[in-house]
Amino acid sequence: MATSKLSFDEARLALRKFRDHPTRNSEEVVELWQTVLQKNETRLGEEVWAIYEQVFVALLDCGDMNHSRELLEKLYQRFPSSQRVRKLNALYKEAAGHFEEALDIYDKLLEVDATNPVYRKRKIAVLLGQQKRVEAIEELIEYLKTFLNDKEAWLQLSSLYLAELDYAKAAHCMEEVILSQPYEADYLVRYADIKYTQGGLENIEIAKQYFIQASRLNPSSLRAAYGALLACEWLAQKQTGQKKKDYVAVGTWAAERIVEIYTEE
Amino acid sequence: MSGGSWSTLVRSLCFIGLISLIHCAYSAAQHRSYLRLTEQEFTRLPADILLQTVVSLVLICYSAAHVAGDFLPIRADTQVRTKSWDTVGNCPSFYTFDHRAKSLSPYFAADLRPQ
Repeated sequence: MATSKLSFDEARLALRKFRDHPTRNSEEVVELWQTVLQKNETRLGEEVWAIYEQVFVALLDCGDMNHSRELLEKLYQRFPSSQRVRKLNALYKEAAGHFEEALDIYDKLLEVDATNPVYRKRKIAVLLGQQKRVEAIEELIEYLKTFLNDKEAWLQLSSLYLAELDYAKAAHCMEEVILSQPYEADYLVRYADIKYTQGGLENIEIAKQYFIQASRLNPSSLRAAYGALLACEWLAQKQTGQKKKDYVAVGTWAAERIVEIYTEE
Repeated sequence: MSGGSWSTLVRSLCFIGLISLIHCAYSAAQHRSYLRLTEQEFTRLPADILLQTVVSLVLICYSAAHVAGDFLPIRADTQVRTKSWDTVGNCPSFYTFDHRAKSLSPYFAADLRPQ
């Protein structure tokens, strides 16, 4: 990664973009920080605290406990009684493997601010870090009873159910995710993938519809087009007559879509 | 009916409708000046002008809709789709750190102490 060739402003903009649309690209963030921005900390102004937080989490993700400790000290100095910094401290403990201490901190934070969803989600993450997936699922279900419209939590629960191979419940969670963001083609594709995996006439019919809708929303989505093609192929084999012709027609459309995508590239 | 002749027909219908509407406006103005000259009261336009106005309006609406082209579905997302699942499927609140970074990083063992 040629991040050292980026200018200061480009690096700053890149970090800002990663804050707005979080992707788990911790190595890139750390490299941007160490090669470009750390040398010019004073030029960052007040944005430096948000960048500290971002780089802190990225350093923890890279297993760099020393440098992340330094950033945490700086944040503590600036914001001595801040809950947010205490949460970062708990994150540090989690990364170091001291889960009990981290849970203590989260419990104390919840005493101060009982309705904050962030601390409850981190407690669930602690369970995940300890490989206690089943307990984490139970806690997440409890959490979602209160915070119904937390799309991220539904998405996480869907992933957990997929890891447990419980496709029906994973599909239900993805439905909730789609409810909150109906125009995101990737969510439709994942839901259709789950339905296709479940198998059976009804599920693959549903999968076909969602793949087609995803392909309409994002014409360059190869997975949506290919999924539609596979679903139509399977369905056409099971049906006869007019329905078979319909499926073949839709399958042909999907195949043409795939050819177009490859020709565009 | 081929596409080309249909579109020219529709365009000429639109044009005829526009001319007809302008003609109605002109007739209405003429009618009013006639009433003013013969010192009659103006209550309503004569029925034929009204009828012609309504018919040309309907004609214009229909042909203009066809001239404009096929209806498209309303797209909720018109931006370019460049986001991958890494961004869209990311759950930052649930990050865990029990992955191989512990083994790969040279800085990790330095902080471990017995819990």
